Amino acid sequence: MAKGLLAPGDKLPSVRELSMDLTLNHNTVAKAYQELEREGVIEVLRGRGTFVAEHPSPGNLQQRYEQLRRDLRRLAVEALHLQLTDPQVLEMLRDILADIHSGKGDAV
Amino acid sequence: MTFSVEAVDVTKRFGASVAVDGVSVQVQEGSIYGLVGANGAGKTTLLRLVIGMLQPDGGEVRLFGERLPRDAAALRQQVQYVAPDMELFRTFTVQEMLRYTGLLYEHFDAERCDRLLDVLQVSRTRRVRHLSTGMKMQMRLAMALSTRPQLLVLDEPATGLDPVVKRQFLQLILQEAAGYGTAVIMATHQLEDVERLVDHVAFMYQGRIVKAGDLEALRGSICKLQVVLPQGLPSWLEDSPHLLHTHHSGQLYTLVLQDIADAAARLREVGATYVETVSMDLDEVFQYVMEKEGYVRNGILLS
Repeated sequence: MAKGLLAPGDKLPSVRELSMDLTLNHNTVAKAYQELEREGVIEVLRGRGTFVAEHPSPGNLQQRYEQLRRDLRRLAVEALHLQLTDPQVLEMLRDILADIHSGKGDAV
Repeated sequence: MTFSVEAVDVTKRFGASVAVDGVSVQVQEGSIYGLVGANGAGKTTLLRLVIGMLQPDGGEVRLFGERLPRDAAALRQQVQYVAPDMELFRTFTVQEMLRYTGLLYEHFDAERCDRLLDVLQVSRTRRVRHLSTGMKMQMRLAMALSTRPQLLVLDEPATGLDPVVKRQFLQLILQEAAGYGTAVIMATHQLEDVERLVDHVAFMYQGRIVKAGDLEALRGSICKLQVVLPQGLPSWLEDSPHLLHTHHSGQLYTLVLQDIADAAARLREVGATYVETVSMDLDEVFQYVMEKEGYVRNGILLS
């Protein structure tokens, strides 16, 4: 979803199917689905299946901001190790954002 | 609640050596239980006690709530054991081996058996002695699943399987557990399989279970941290059962801790200036738990 590969309303594989496909314990897959449902990212319609929610709202926003901040900090330290200057680092980030907006390159 | 398998304080001795030492295991219907451990830890012996192939010297095993006596023919109808060293009739063809199984097990499902042989691509006309290790394992699994077992006991199930067949094999096991409520106990050294397949895991060492539980809870109870500790290791951690592993160069410590809530916060309280959680795969978790038990092997340089 984050990569734009799944759109709201898209049907997701059943727990059974996904568990087979990924060779993962079905409880693990079921737990992941429950978590996503609780966060409002997916909707389970009884008897019809699991779908991407119409208005997926990313849950625990505050936590995720903090995680992002920690990740960026780690990358900033890495950039300093490579002796990049602040403007060079910002330039790189600007380039990446421009790529994503223009649809070029993978969103990882 | 009735467990599919319940071993209570089971002990098995061979002469002077204790192969299984007061082990308790509970496996629920539909659950996949992973048994991992050092070589010679007693995994196979424990599995053989569970299926009644060996009699315990102490404790007892209950299958589906019933005690497992010596003449448990009815109970054994519901149990299948798949292991690389399980004897087969070498001169039989695959077809004959399966017919023989069909005669022994009342719930034998010939149609299911046919489908299994087809998907696993095991030739029916080949003689058992002409099958490779991997092909024999496939035939064993086909035989086992054809009897519609309530309990599937697997000893190193991935032995001799190529990656494509292994995936198929693991899918069949998952399907059996999730779709038919079959309880599965599996002893293996393939920790990446354990990580994906099982919901409960036990680490064995020298006949005992040294750590066991829900896989997610177990993973959550052990963490690896990189910490800068200007004042050194706090005294409450030294020689603590919580400390599985420590290594430091200067002020930078690598700590592996178990069963400590809010480890990062507690380390900051004692002056840690930097704390980072490092992720670990199950392989590493296993090594640290074993290290704490004193199981270490050093590298050698051969000249």
